[in-house]
Order: sequence, then C-alpha cells, then structure tokens
Amino acid sequence: MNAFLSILRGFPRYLWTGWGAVASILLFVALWELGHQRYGDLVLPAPLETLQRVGQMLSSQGIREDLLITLKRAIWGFLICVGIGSVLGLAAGLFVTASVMSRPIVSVLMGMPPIAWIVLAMIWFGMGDLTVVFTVVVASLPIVFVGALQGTRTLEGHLKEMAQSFRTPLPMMFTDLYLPHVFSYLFPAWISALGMSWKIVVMAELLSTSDGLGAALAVARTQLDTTGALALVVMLVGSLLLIEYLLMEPIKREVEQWRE
Amino acid sequence: MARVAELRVEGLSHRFGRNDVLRDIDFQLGQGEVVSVVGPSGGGKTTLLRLCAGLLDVEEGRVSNRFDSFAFAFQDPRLLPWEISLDNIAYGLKARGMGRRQRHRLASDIGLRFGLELGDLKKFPKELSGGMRQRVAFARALVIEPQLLFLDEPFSALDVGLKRELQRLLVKQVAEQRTSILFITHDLMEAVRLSDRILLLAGDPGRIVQGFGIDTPREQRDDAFVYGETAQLLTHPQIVQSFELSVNA
Repeated sequence: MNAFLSILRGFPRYLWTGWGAVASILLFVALWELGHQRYGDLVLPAPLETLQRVGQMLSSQGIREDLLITLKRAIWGFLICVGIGSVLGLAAGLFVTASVMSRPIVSVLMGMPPIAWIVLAMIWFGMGDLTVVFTVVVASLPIVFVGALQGTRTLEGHLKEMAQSFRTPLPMMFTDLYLPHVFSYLFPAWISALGMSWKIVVMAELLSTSDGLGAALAVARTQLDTTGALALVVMLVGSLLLIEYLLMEPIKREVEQWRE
Repeated sequence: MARVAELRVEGLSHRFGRNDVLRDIDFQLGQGEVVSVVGPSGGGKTTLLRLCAGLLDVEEGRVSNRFDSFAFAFQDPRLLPWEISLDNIAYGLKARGMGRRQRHRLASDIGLRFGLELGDLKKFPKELSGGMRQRVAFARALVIEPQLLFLDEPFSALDVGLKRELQRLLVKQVAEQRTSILFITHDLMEAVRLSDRILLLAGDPGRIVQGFGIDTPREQRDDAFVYGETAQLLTHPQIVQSFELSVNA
C-alpha cells in the first residue's frame, strides 16, 4: 500500500523525466521523414500520413476490435506464462537436481525459434485463439522460468546465516529475505516476457488467424498498403511503450531502489 | 536458584569431511567476561564461533549456552540490500516480534550513538561507505541488548580510526550492560585491548594450546600498555610456534 502511494506521488516527476525520451523519439521521426522524402510514398510513407492513418484506424470499428483481440491474446499468454513459469522456476530452484535437470531443457526451449512453434501449434490446435496464446506462452515461458530459478538459487548463504543468528521466524524469513530477493530476479524477467509476448502475438496472428492486428498486417501486405502496415506497427509499438513506461517502469523503480 | 549465565564448551571436536578442524576444545565464558580466541587464519576459529552460536550442528562434545540472548557480528556487514539502514538495525527486534514504532525508535537511537546521521538511517546499504555499513551491522547486533555477543573479526576491514571508535563503544557496552563477548581475531593487539582472557588456538587441527589472562581493567589499557603487552606475548614460544613467526624477522 505504501509502495503504491509512493509510486503515485513520484509519478508526475517521473513523467517529467520523459522529455529526453520524447526528444529522441522525435529525432527518430525526423529521420523517418528524411527517408520518406528520399524514397517516396510506396517505400516509406510520411510520418504525418501514418499518424493520420492511425487516427482513422482507431476511430473505425473494425481495427479497434482487432486491437482489442490482439491485446487480449497477448495479455492472456503473458499471464499464463508468468503464472506457470514463476511457479515452476521457484519449485525447480528449491531442488538441486531439478535445477540441474531443467537447464538443458530450458536451452532447448530457448533455442527453438518461435516460428517453429507457430507451425506446430497450427497443426495441433488449428487456426484460432488457442494457437496464438499457446505460441506466446511457450516462447516467453523460458525467460520467466530462468528468472525464477536464478532467484531461488542465488540467495546468499551469508544472509541466511545472519538471519539464523537472529533466530528469524519462518514467516519473516519469507517476507524479509526470500521474497525481496526472488522478486528482484522475477520482475525483470516478467518485463522481458511482456515484450516477447507482444512480438510473438503479432507473428502468430499473421500466420494463423483471420482477426487481430497480425491478420490486419497480412491484409495490408497483400494490398501493398505500406501506410496501413506502418500504422499498425506504430499502434503495436505504441501500446507496448505505454504499458512498459506508464505501468511497469514506475513499479520497477519503486521496488528496486536498493539495487546497485 | 538463579541460572548462571555462562557458555561452556566441553570436549568439542569438529570435522569437515576428512578434515579435522577442531579437536577437544574446552573453555568457559562467564557473564561480563570478554574472551578472545586468537590464532592463525584458517585455524578453525570461525568454525568454533559458529558452533558456539548454534549456526553449525555440534557433532562431538558439548556446547551449553545458558545466556538468554545472543547476537552475532560478522566479518562482513551482511546487511539486507533491500532494506534501509533503520530497518537493518531493527532486524533483530523485528525477529523478536517488536512493533514497528518501538523498534524504529530504538534502532534510530542506537544508530545515532554509533555515529550514523539521520540521513544515513534512510539510506540503502549501497549508498553507505564500508565503514558506515559496519556501524549499521554493529548497531544491529547491539540493539537487541544481547547478553552474549559473538564477534567474528568484525574490525578487520576497518581503518584505524573507526576500529578504535567501535572498540571504545564495545568496551562501554561491556562495562554498562555486563555483556559477555566471545571474540575471534588474528590481531593480537585487538585481543590485548579488549579481552580478559586470550585463548591461543593452534591450527591443524585447531586446539587450544595456551591461555593468557589480562588483569588490568579495560578502561586503563592505554596504547603503551597494549603495545608492551603485545610485544611480550609475541615472544611467547607457543605464539611464535602457532603463528610461525620467524625469530629473525
């Protein structure tokens, strides 16, 4: 509760520090404009035109629905992978054998390209929500799993001994020792998984569904509608940036003040 | 009958795998007494301390600790990086179930006495210097007013000034609260300055080969006394042998 209030209090100041980020994004847009003037509409439509298109899309029923569908899939995939990955990782971290055994499996999962998962999922589950959500989950799961695993494995014996020397009761061991430590590994893993989910969801949709932003992107491609495609990309990246910088980053700053 | 507060170690031996670390250790520590164990590095001193504090299981022999409370100060500060100094100091009080307001009051009182400033109490360990961290660690050990204090070379990484200051605070604590201390060090001067009795732990396997008593009251031990006494100890044959001091050095 305290942490929540402190995040809210710090929010205006945090936003104010965003000017630097805005400046660098504007610089990027300027380069984009330069590219547009050099190569023309078909290759690189003007930023202004793209933004107008985003505005149009957001006010049209169809794309708004697609956006919601995509968000829903990404968030479901993310939540499921966070749930399963964290629990499995923590459990594996508690046992030496489990953590040693899981390492090669994680390497295999990490090495498997998401596109391969999409193909398999299409065969297993057909074309639809399940395929997309499944792909998001398998692709981001290893990241969360490894974060949780490292969190439990790396707690220093030194601190545990200190806690023992004060005869720390078990509940306090959890609240003061284990949780803060594990969380400091888990949270960054969650953020990476979120970014991963966002990217995978579009790719999976593009190949396997007829709705969602990914499908809209596929349509834009067949019609050689570069402006439309760019507008969709802007929407996707924009929504990820909003979630990451308005939600995740302030939380991260609050809970990780103690980090070096 | 009132319980006699004392730490009694009888026939204590310990091994790690095939390594004999400690063999047949006997000594006792009464209330208000400061006993230091000196000996070369790697001679099993820390193991002895951990056995006495119950951080390691006793396998052979007996350790009976009849003090009501004890605290441990380690060689490194071992602060929780995610808690501010104030909460780190209050850690032991929290473990005893003391309420937030009260433990913060006690913690900030002792923190200030140990040379921390109000601003430091709100800082995370990463923002403090090494010396400040060790002050916090000391405050954390002493705020619970332990009857027995285990010290594992807590001064070894500190500069001379800070070392002296913390030692002075410690001497005061012993005098005022009759705190007993079991103190581990490889620094003879430190031992001479602080202890009533010095036990010499020879290495490989660790065993106590000699005890020295120092009768001069702690408050009267000035530098000249400490230097003189240390110089005298350094010529003692057992010490020469244990520390492998070469005679010509």
